[in-house]
Amino acid sequence: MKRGYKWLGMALALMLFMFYGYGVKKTTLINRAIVVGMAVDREGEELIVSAQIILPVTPEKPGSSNNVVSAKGKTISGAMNTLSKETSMVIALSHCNLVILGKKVLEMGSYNILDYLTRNAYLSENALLVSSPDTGLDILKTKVAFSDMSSFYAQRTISSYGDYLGIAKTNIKDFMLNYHSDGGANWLTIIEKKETDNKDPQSEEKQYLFDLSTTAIIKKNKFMYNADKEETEGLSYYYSQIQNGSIFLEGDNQEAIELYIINKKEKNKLDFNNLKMTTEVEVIVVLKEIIKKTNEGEEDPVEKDNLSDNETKRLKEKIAGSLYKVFNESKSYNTDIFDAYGNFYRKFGKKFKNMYNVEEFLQKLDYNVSVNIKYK
Amino acid sequence: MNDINNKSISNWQLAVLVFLIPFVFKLAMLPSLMATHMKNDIYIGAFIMLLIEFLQLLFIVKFLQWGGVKKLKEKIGIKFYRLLIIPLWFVFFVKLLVMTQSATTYIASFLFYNIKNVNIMATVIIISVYLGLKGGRAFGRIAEIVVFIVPIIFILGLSFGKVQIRSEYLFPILTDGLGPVFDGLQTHSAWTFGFTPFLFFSYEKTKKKPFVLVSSITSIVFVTLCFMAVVISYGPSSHLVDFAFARLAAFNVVSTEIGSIDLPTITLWLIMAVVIMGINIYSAGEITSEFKLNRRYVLPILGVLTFVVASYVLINLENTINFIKSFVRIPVFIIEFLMPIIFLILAKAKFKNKKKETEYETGI
Repeated sequence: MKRGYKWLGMALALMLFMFYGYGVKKTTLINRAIVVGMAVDREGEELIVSAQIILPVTPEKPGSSNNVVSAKGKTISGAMNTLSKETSMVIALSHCNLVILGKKVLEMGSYNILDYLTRNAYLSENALLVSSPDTGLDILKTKVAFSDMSSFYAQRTISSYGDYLGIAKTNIKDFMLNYHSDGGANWLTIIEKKETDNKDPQSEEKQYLFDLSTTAIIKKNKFMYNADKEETEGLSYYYSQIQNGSIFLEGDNQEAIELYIINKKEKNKLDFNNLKMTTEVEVIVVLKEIIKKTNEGEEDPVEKDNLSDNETKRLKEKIAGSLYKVFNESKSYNTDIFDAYGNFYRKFGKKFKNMYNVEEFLQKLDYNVSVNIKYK
Repeated sequence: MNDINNKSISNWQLAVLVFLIPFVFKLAMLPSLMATHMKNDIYIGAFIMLLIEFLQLLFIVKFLQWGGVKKLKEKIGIKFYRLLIIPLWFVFFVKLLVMTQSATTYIASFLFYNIKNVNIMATVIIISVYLGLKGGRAFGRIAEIVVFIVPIIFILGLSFGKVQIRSEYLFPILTDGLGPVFDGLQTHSAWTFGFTPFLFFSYEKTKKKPFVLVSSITSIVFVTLCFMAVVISYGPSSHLVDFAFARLAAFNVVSTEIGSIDLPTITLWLIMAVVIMGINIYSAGEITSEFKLNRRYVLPILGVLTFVVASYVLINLENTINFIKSFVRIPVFIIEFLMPIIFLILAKAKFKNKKKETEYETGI
């Protein structure tokens, strides 16, 4: 009798394997559009979703190639369905590590879009989130000098070689986290095209590089302003785990001094009674190169182990200045870019929250920066 | 004799199951649900929930030490015993529905593109029913085999993980008092007692080693730490994180054409999910056996019933979560809270005048 059940079980399992396929919509790899970068733009009431997809290699068409496709829709999923219909392929987001939001999307609010993307289990929440000064589609379509695909080039530049100074990167997860903080301040790297002298050898089209040194500042669902290069550096001193990049400084005798950043640490000291926040930044640097111009205009390399006291002071001021600038500029837009309110709340609890709201607190806050430089 | 062997698990096997069970459905489902009530205090909520759960385990283990259902039946008589266990069947069925929907949605979300949920549900239920028919020994053996994945997950995480730790998000603690924590706990109370089905298990005699005690404490610590990890990772957006278990493990992403998954974590989760469902099915079968209904017929019917209700009545996970948050949670909680205590009192009361040799040694 027992043996009978085993046979019955085996027969059921076999049936399941044989007929299971009828209930499953099969999608072969050739019918799957592997998205490596996507862009969301807005035109009036409609959203435009664009995707850079890797085209499958076939015997008739060997070698890797890609294409950028776009579709309109009232919703993201609607536009993506249209994309699927038009390309006759299933849009697969599992390899997408870059999402570009167009300028109009930022201006008209991006939360609903990001909410959908966060809940989409196939798209990694660690996907980089960036913005474009014009449309995201324009960035995806850009012929870049060092890659076949603009998405890969942008991803590599932003993240693959460590965290650079001067790129205030963020991803979908961090953007949502900041959105739900009390102040709701957020930032997005702006990808700006920079023309090169190179041309594509086949199409003769101009090739571009990406400049990532400016940042869009957002508060909750509202675009506030574009932070410049110095402010972006301030953001990366505060938020990024900088393990790369360099700082340029002019020496006491007009030397060109280049310092390499090995590491950076930062912490905030909070004073409840005086409503004062001091950001203590420690930067570990290596003196990389010093070039002094002689009176005759010739370059004269200088051998030097340490900077002078004056030069160190100027370096500290330069770093502190970038933090002050982004804090004060954001403050003028009522944006708590360093989440100072959240820092106070997490340390002093509800009594702090009962005393101040974000805007009132921000105007009263005394913000200070203290920089320590360590040479290695 | 065979049947008794099927029910029996060793002290070590029970310890492994006790360690793994709180990780599975709680960690997958509860962080986002509880965060809507208690925000960054979810790890405190989880800790309290686990304490209650392990207190229940203490009662269950004592009950098993005193002879379990076999002895209880002898002492209180089959009619009273039958009356006593009917409510537990209801509990197992309700929990089975919730687990089925959770496991199905988890698999559909993280493993496949465009797959029908009913196909996944059918597969999960068939495996669980099969395990339910095999009994206690099968669960113990599976748990023993898969537990080695836990250190692999940690080794991979520590080796390749690149997680930005923001421990400041753990604070302030209990800023609105314990009110929101208890509000969250009572709303989601149905997720609390994961060990109730063990009432129908039995032990093998083993040497006295405190495996279950050690694994219980380890489990409480680890699960609480995992809830803390959700807060550190997601901060004020924790309420948006569905299936935290999979998302937390995103440091070990294996990208293939089927999606981005964390292979060791999802393997462990899936196996333990069907084991836990199987444990519920097994115990439900133990109850129906008392009414002279053969488990071999009843359990497949229970599987079909679960499939029909989960896929055509509850339909999706949202409805299922609303169902388990509804009035249903109250009888479920009361039954699970009271039954081990009633079982224990009745077992002890009847055992009081008996000789000591009737006690079972478990080494706890």
